[in-house]
Formats: sequence, C-alpha cells, structure tokens
Amino acid sequence: MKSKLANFKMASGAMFAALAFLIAAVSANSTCMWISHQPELPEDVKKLRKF
Amino acid sequence: MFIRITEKVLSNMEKQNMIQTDQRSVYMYGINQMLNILLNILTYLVIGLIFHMTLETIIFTCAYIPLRIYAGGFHAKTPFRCWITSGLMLFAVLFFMKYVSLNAFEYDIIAVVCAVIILILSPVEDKNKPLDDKEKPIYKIRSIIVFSAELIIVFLLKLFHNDSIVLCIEMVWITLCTMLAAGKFKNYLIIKGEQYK
Repeated sequence: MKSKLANFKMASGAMFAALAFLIAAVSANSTCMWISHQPELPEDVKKLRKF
Repeated sequence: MFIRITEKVLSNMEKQNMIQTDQRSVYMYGINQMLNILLNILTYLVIGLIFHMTLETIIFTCAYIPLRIYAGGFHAKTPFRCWITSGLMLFAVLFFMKYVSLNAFEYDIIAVVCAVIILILSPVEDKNKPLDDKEKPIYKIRSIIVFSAELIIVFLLKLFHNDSIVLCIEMVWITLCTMLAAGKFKNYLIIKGEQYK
C-alpha cells in the first residue's frame, strides 16, 4: 500500500513537472494567455522559443 | 503571487529528483504560471455562475485565449492587478451580453469594425514581453490565422442560427480590440515618458 502511494506520488509529481515545463514553453512562444499574468521571462525560458 | 508555494513545491520536486537543477528557473516560472492560471479559471467560473452564463464564459475564454496569445494587448504590471483587470473585464463582457440590448446586426457592425482594428494593430507588445523583429511578423500571421478560423466558425454558426455563440465570439473581438488599443496607448505613454526624462 505504501509503495503504491509512493509510486502514485512520483507519477503525479512527474506529470506536474511536465505540465509546468509545457506552460513555460507556451509562455515563451506567446505574448499573453490572458488567464495569467505574464512576468518577465527568465533567460532559460526564453531558450524555449521555437523561432 | 504564489512565490512561496512555488518555492516549496519546487524544493520537494528537487528532493525527489523529479526535475533537473539547471532547469530550475523554467519549472519555477511554469509552476507559478500554473497556479495563477488555476486562480484565474476559478474566478472566471465564479463570475460566470453569478451571471448564470457559465457556458458563455467557457466559450468566450476558449475563443479569447488563442487570439490573445498572438495579438497581445494591454498587460497589468503585477499578477494581482492582472487578476483584478481580467475579472472586471469578464464581468463587463457578461454584463454587456446580458443587459445591453443590441440587435444582431448592430453587434455584427461593431464586431466587424473591431476585427479590422485587431488586424491592423496586432501584435501589441508589452514591456515584460517585448517582441523582436523576428517575432512580430510571425505573431501577426498567427493572429490572422486564428482570427480567420474564428470568422469561419461565426459564418457557419450564423448559417445554423446559433446566435448566442456568435455573440460570444463577437464579444471576443470587441474585447480584444479594446485591449489592443489600451496596450498601444500604454506603450505610447511609456515612450512619451522616456522622451521627457
């Protein structure tokens, strides 16, 4: 039971991290999503620009 | 706005080796944005429920975001001000849709004028997200593509007499036009302010 919970935590944490990365990448390639304030992009986020 | 929570979540994820340390600033930015997005979505749903217009709120949001991300427009200085401005904007949109009685033709005329302004003004950059010479034409083309897709949807919906969704999309154009004009004006004031320094 404990190991299942630990596995679930790891899996959901990894998904959360992936989602955070995706949102940063979308932010780098757009002006504003409206549903969130757009603070100044860190240099590492600017590198995610696709063009 | 959620810096402390973001730092806490991030340090937990680093301990569990879920993220690379050299990408820390990317995840920090992403998690902070996620929390802001969640707060804003909850706020919009509450505003939609207050007006008994949840469906219209969802349609408006789904139509507004793709156009906004490429057209740009007015940005608030802080996440809190952004939350307030966005909430007030949605409140005004839903209030207008519910209580201002214009006929479909009048909405069409206003929407067409606003659409032309959007096509002329976009993209409008902000101090926090300046656009370089490479980005401007790409964002312009993308905003035209998204607008064209919405225009086709509006024509199809008009054929099927689905006026409520057409109204939502036309309100997107009217709102975005206002935000673009406000953004342009803000940028003009910033430039004027710098000239007088």
